[in-house]
Parts: sequence; C-alpha cells; structure tokens
Amino acid sequence: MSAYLDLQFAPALLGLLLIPLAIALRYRLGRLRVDVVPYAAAWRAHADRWTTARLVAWWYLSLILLVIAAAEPVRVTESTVSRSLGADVVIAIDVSTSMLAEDMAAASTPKDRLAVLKPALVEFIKDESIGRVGLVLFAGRSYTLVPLSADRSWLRQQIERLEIGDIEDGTAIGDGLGLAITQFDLGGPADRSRMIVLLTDGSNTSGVMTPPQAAAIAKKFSIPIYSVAMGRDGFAPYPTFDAAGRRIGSRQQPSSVDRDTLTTIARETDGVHQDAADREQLTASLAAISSRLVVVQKSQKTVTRDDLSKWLLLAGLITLTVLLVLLFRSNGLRQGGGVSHDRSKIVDGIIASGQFKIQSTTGLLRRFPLLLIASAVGVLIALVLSGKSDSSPAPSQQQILFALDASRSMDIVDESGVSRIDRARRLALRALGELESDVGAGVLVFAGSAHVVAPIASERTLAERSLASFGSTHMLQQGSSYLELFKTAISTFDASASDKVLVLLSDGEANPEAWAADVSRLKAMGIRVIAVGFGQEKTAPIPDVAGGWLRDSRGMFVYAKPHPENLRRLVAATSGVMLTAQGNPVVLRELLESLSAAKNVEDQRWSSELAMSELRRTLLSIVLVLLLLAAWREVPAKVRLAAVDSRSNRVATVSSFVVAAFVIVAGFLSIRVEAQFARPLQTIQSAEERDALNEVNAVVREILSRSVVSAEDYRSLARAATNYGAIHRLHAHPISEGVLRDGLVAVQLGRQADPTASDWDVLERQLRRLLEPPPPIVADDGEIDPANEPLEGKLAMGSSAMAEPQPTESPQGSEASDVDDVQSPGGGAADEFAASDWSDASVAVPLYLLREVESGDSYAELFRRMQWRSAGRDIVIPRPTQGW
Amino acid sequence: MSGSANHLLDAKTREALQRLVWRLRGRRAVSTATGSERSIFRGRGMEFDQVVKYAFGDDIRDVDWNVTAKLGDLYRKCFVEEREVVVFIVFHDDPALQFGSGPRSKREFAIELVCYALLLAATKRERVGLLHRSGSTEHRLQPTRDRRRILAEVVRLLQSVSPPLRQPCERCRQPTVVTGIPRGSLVLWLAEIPEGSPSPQWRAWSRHYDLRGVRVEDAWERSVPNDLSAPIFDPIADQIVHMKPDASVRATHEQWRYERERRWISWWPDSRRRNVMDVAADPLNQFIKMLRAGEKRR
Repeated sequence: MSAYLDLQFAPALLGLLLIPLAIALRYRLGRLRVDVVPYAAAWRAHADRWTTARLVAWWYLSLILLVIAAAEPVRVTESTVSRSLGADVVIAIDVSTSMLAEDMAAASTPKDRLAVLKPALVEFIKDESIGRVGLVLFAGRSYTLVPLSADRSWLRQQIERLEIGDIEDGTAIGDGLGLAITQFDLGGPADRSRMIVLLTDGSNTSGVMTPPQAAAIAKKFSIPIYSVAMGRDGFAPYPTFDAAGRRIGSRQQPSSVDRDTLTTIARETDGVHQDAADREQLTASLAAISSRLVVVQKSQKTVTRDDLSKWLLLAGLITLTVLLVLLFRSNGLRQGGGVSHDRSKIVDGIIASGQFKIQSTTGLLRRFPLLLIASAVGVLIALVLSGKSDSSPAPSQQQILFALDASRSMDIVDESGVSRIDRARRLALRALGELESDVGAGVLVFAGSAHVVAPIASERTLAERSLASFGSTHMLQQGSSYLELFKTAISTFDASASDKVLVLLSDGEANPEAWAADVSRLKAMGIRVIAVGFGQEKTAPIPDVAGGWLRDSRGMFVYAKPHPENLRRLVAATSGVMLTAQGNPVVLRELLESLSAAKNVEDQRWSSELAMSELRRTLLSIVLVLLLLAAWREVPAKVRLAAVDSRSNRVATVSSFVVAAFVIVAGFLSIRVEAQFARPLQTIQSAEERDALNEVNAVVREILSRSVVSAEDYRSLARAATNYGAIHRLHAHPISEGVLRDGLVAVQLGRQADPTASDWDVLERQLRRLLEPPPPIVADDGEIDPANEPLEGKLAMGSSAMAEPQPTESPQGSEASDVDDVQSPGGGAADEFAASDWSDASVAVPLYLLREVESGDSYAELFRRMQWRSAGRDIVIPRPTQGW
Repeated sequence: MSGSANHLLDAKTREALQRLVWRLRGRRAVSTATGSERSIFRGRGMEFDQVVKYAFGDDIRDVDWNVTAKLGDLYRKCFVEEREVVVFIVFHDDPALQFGSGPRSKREFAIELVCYALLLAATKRERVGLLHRSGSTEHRLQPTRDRRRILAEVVRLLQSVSPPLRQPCERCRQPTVVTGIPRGSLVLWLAEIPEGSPSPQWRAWSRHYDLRGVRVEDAWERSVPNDLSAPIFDPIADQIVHMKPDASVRATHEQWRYERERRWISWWPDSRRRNVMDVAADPLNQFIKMLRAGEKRR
C-alpha cells in the first residue's frame, strides 16, 4: 500500500504568485488605517512592531492555505488487493426417466436419483470457489435452464423445479455437453477457470452429437468435463404409477451407466470421472469436484482518494476568523472601549502610498473589513459545498423489468405483417441491447398468470433468450391478468433500487378488468410504468396454434381489440409514460429516452456535483481575489510616510497601479487558460446532445496537442467514441467504423496506462457491440428501414430474408422467423468461434453439430414444458422442424 | 447682521454664529464679563485726568514731582482708565489642535473662544485685532471697532478649514514676535505650547504688552486612555505609532507631561498670565473666569 499527495487542480497553485504580488502591492499601495493623536509618538516607550506583523502573518497564512485548498489536494492511497474470481461451472443434468431409479437413497425412504441430486446440487453451488453456475438439462434432447449466473437464489429455485419427464425421454449426453459448452464465452481467453459437471446415469442414446464429439470441442477450448455416474449397474427399483400419476409401488429394472465413455471424455478433457452409487458418494464426488475448482486470484489495484481540501478550507476559515477578530480588536470596533469613536473628535484616516488621508471610519461599511468578511463567507460556502459533494451517495442502480404480454391477442398480425408479440420482443431486445451495463434488466411474461423468466440482473443473457423465445404458446393460463402482473412485478423489484421501471409491452387488453385498485401498490413501491401499446385500434380475429383462427365453444371466431385506454390509465396512475408502437417508427428512441429519464436524474445529480465542484473553484478564485484586495485595502500594511506631496511618489503609485493591474489580469487569465487546458476531457460532454463526431474530433485534437497522454484522456476518447456510436445508432445514422476502432485503440492504450482508471471492459464491450451491425428496423409497412440496414446485411441478405411474413402464418412460424431475425436463443457463442476453430478438422464436424444443438435450445419451450407438467397436463411435444 | 447677509452664510455657520451671539446676549454673561468696569479688557493703560493733593494712602508712585516742586506741596497725578484698550488675539491654528477625545476638538474650542473674544469686543465697541496663523497662511485683522468687520472675521473663523495635518507650520510652533500691535495692548496668545525655550527677543517684546497665554488641553494629554490600541499617526512627530496603554507608556506619558508643563512655564513664567482651558468644559465660562481672575489680580 502506498500513499502520496496529488493535486486535482494543480493550476490553482499559480495562485501562490499572489504572494509576491501581494507583497508588491502592500509595499507600494498598502494602506494603514490610523487614528490621529498628536504627541502620541512622545508617549511611546518602545516600538510595537508585532501588532501589524501578527495581522499580516495571519493574512499570509490564510492566503497560502486557501491557495493550496484551491489546488484540491487529495491523499491518494494505492493498495493492491487480490480479487478471487470463482470458476464458471455448467452442470449438465440428466433428467431422463432412468433418473427415477430409487437406488441412491435408503430403502426406507425411497427417493429417485434426481431427488437425491437436488439437495446435493444446492450444497454444491454454495461453494465460494464457484463464481457462476449454469444449468443444462438433457434427456432425449437438451435445454438450457439457466445460463451462467451468479444469482444463487435463482439457481436454487430452478434446481428445485427440476422434474423428470419435462423433456422427451432419451439420454442425449452429447447434446447436453455441447449445450453446456455453448454457455461459456468461447470468443476469447477466459479470465477464470471453467468446468462442466456431467451428472448422468446412462449412456448416450439420442441427440445429434456424440459425447466424444462434444468432448473434442471441450478439449479444444480447454474446458474440463467432470463426469459423475449416478446409480449402480444391474437392477434398480423404479417406481410405478397409477393412471393419476400416484406412486403405487416399484419394480426392478436393469440400469447401466456407460462408464467407459464417461471416463474417456473426462480423461480427454483433463477432467475426472467419478461414480456415485448413493447419496454419500454423490456428495463426496461433488465435494471432490469442488476441491478441484481453481479460484483465479486477480490482483486489482484500488485507489482511494481522500479529499484534503476541506481541512485546508477549514484551517483557512479559522485563520481568517482570527484575523478578523484581531482586526476588530485593534482597529475596527472601538465603540466597545472607553472612547466612543462616533462621539469623539479623533480624526480617522488612512496612510496609503506614503501619504496621509483623512477618511472617516464612522460609517458601518467603512468600519468593517468587508473584503475579509466576504472572503470568510466565501470560504465557508466552499466548505459547505465540499462537504455536500463528499456526502453525496453513489448513484444507485436502475432496475428495468420488461413485462411481455404473452396472451393470444398479441399473436394478431397487424397490417405490417408482423405479429404484435414479435414487434414487442424486437423492441424489448433492441432496448435491452442499448442499456448501460450497470442497469439491471429482467423479463416477466404474463398472460393468465405471470412468471419471472429472467430475474433482474446486469447479466443479459437470460433476459435476451427469454425475450427472443417466449410467446403465447408457452403460457399455460391464457388471458391478460394485470393483477398477476402487478403482484409478480412488485415481488421482483429490489426495494432499494433508486429507479424501478416496469416496461409493459401489451395491447392493453386486461382480463379481469378490475385491476385499477392494485396500481396503488405499484405507485407505493415507486415503480414507474412505461407502457408500450401494440396493435391497431380495430377488432381482429385471434390466430390459433394450428394456423387458423381461434374459435369459441360455439364455433365463432374470437376477436380481440387493443385497449390503449387501459395503458393510459396505468401510466397516469404511476406517473409513467405511454408510448404507441403502432405507426411509430421512433418508438425505440422514445422508449430509450423514457428509460434514461430516470437515469438522467442520477446524471443530473452527478452534473450538479460537477457544477458544485466548478462553483467551489470559482468561489475560491473570487475569495483569493478578495483576499488580495483585502491586502491592499484592509490588512494593515507596514507603510512608510513619504515626503509631503511628493510628485515622484504619485508617479510611482500610478505605475504600481498599472503594474499590479497588469499582473492581476495576466495571472487570472493564465489560471483560466491553464484550468481550461488541464480540465478533464470528459467535461467536454454536455448534457445537451451536441454533434458527437465533433466531440470526438475535439478530444482527439486535445490528445494530439499534449505531450503526455494519460489514461483519463484515453478514457475520454473511448467514451466520446461510444457516445458517438450510441447517438448515431439511436438515430439510425450510418456509423463511421473508424471512430469506433479508434475508441477500441484508446481502450487498449488506456488499459495499459492504468488498468484501474476506468471500466475498460465495459467500454470495450460497448464499442464492440456498436461495431456489430444492428438488426434491421422494420417499419410499419413491413419494409426494412434502409438507413439502419447494415451494409453486410444488404449484401448477404437474400430475397427470402426480405420476404414479408405471411399474415396467415402461424404464430409458431412467425416466432421462428423472429428468432432468426433477432437472435438465436442461446446464440452468440457459436458465432464467436474463430475461423481457426473451424479450420481444425477434428472439431469442424462437432462444431457444426454443436450449432445444430444450440439452435434446438429454447428456454421458452423448457419453461412451457415445466409449467404444463406442474399443472398436470400432457406435454405437447413440438414439431422437430420448429428448431428451438 | 442683515437678512441678506444671512443668505450668504451656510446653515452650519449661521447656526454656530447664532449660538455664539445668543449666549453673549444673556445679561449674565455680559455683565459677568464687564462688571462695573468701563472696559471689558482692562490692561495697564491709564489716561491722565488731573493733579490733586497727595493724601495718606495714595500710591507714592503717582506723585507728580514737577508740580510738587513748583507749588511746594505734595501733589499727585490722578488717572482714569483708558477708554480704548486694544485687544489683540494671536491664534495659532496648530495641527495639534485637531484632536478631541470628547465631543469637541481643541480647535473647535479655540475657535469658539476667539469668536467670543471678538464678539465681546464688538459688543463693547472695543478695538480688537486678530492674527490667525493656519499652516503656511497668515490672516491679520488690524485693530478695529467696526462691528461689520469683526463679525465678518468671526464668520471667516467659523468657516475656516483645518490646516493640513502633515504640513506642520514651523512658525506656528515657534512663536515669533508679532509686530504692529499697539503698545500696551492686551494680547491673548492662543496656541499650543511652543517648542524650545523663549528667545530674548520674545522676553523683551512681551514686556510691552499685557500678554496672556492660553492653551487648550484634552483629557488624553492628562492621562493615557485605556483603549489606545489602533495604529496612531502623530502629525507632530510625523510618525506612525503602534502601542498599548501599558505601564511603560503611562510612565512615558507622565514624563512627557512634566516636560511639557515645564516648557509652558518657561514661556509664561507669570502664573497670572498663563491659562489652561479644558476642552471638555464650556469655553465662554472659562473665558469669563479668566477675565475675572485678571480683574481680581488688578
């Protein structure tokens, strides 16, 4: 740990030049306020030189303290702390029917293998060596239940929800491993250790990938696979159920585990295979895996800055107060003494420039040293301002919950040829992509019931997958229950969040209608609703799953009509914002502006603090000037009496005035210029939206003009480039890639200069995201907005991609097209495979198969299956061609 | 004064003048000042009346030896008071007068005193003259009994501006022989205590006149005040002084006061001819008191 002093506003030290200036001023122009007492010189026993000298000493001390305080010294303490980065662990869990075997628990309390596994897993994920955990389920096929997440409670909830039978039977170990591999960020070097834990009790019987193929990819990316074979070989008791699903007994069935394969893939990938015949062995196996977890110690330099200027300001205020008291006692307030100055005939005067001049001090303004008093008040205000800026809390997090209306009425395809829910998902996905990294975002889907499918977190993977995949077919209970929505939303938000925003993507149809009473609960919790209304205001038939139209029990078509008035009532009650998606090409921008409105409050707070800091600097500058004037006018000077009416003295006085004025103006201007020169570059950004490219150019010019470029300058350039990209992306303007690449270079250089100066990773991620081509904006007429269409997309996009979706297309079909159009569920990772990975012949085929496995993953489908199973309904196995 | 003359005066001067005149019009003040005498300012000047036989008890100095020798009997001269005594006021407007720890400065006191003397003389139609030295300027009023001129002089005094503090008039501090004063005149010398010791010329000159020295004294000249803390400019020494009223300062002040009294006595050795007036007291009363004391001494 090292500590040193730093100056945040070093140019203020130029203010020390005021001292020689003050000496010169006081020598030539200094004044002394005197009383005229004839013969007093004859009464003096000895010269009293200390009275004036003491006053002057206090004045110099005040000046020096305040000049140093204006330089804003900080005590910088640098300490290096090692931060533990827990491992990323993806657990691939076999949920095939073979897991029903009750051979791992005691015979007295029969439990299937999954039931035994759950508490062991819950204990396992508590290990502090684990940073993030992902859950992948596989049986006949594989699904991602939870992408890598550090939210332990969410993970525990999902583990508790695990049941056998949600997925068609089979044991697709290869697919499960493949899907587990895709959970990792394979695009670059890992900053923490990675691991796959495979928990299975069988052998690979289905799926598109074989375990060795998956192991080859894992080996390629240095991901060890720790396999655990659950159960015993031979016969094991399996429960038997009656028609109602109640357990009525058990029967012995053969059970075997493909230990050879498991051992092989573990060995190939530098993992370990273990057998877990019972609960104790399972626990021991997981404990052994935990012991192999590698916690990466990443040293992180932390810098703490203690503001010392407030103490200097306090000291300056004290010295000024002492000076004022001494002045009052010696010069100013003689009315309290034996002689009333107002009623006496003692002549008051000043001696300035060697000459005596009668100047009455009987007036209030002349009697008080107003300049010094004003200086003290200024220092006091500056002290209060610095105290305020210190005590201001850090901005708290904004939480945004996207509530997707997944009712059947949202499946209606409007004239644009896109269903309402597709438009809602696209809008939410794009808004999600534009959010700042520190904003927590989650997803809630609701119809007759409401479910949080992605908890509010800064990790966006699950939220993006949820938004990309959920539709009306995944909801068991149909309808549009705002009551359920409110109830679930209130329980989802963190009460301590400063800004809670519920983005309601709905057509406004609410059933039951009586929801208004519960809005007060939203308002009481401070939840702001931004409602985005979808659909044209006309009645339309609701499509059904089969591609036709939904009919009621009488065989009549079921019609639905948007109810924007419901949304308006809702936003009016919660001081929210109402947006209309229909016929509004700039709804995304409006939504982002509405979302950033609350954040702007935080920004305004920061801006006000910055303004307060500027105000303090200005105030101190004024105080220093006042002090200088006080040295001239109010602080007694050691004056010399010149010859009476000396002409040369007058000339010298005038000359001194001219020189002093010149020095003051020149010094002040130099300070201003230096201050402007040394001002952090980020202050160039203003609250108003200026030409972002000009800002980038200005920052580049500033950097080029400097001999030494600091990490802060690189950060300014990176931020300016990010700002440029964000604004141009927001306005759908073509983006100059070179600007963003310059920003990336600035991030690299800045990271090299000072890794802790900024959140370089966030900046890099934002810039890379901006470098990616944006998804095309579909206008209301269904045409792709050419302004936002990426060049690569224009070249690569075939006629099929441009074809309008057919209005009569089933919701499933439209969802599939949406998935392709927006983002593949679980996608992104495979796209990050480098070309060199594909050129490796040993993994080319597995990678191809992996992409197929990945494309079959659907969080929404798994959610639907779990929901329907918990409701006791038969799971409808979707058509394989849907490609979840 | 006529109404038109009043218009020429500023309000402050007019008020001050009226105050002076009203105070003098009081019978008590005038009668106190004049008493039974014909003249208010009685010097040694006497006018010869007749020669009468000497009787026991008469002043032997009044014996007219010429007549005695001619007539063979002892005759003496009989005198009456001179009806026209010239009063001449010498007023040195010293920078040291511009001080007053109370509500009135020494200069204001001195000017008021001079004005009273002028106005009293005008009331009794005495001949009065004035020499007013202020800084480097000198104004002289030849002895006159013209009331208009005397009143104009009073107004001029009331309107006079203080001399610059930092232009000490050396001549003011060193009294020099004033010429042009009728012999035997009553000379009121109103000034600060002169520096140095009197010259032989001064001693010879002062014998020809009924010379009265008057100085005005402030409380701070008698003792050091307690709240003496501000930086002080001493126009006499032309110095800036910082001091506190501690014991050493008080001792020095005492010594200074002693030296000052000694010097004052050296200039006016006759105690009947030197007068110290307190600036805090009423100037008219002190003036009349001074005149009555002179009458008693006579």
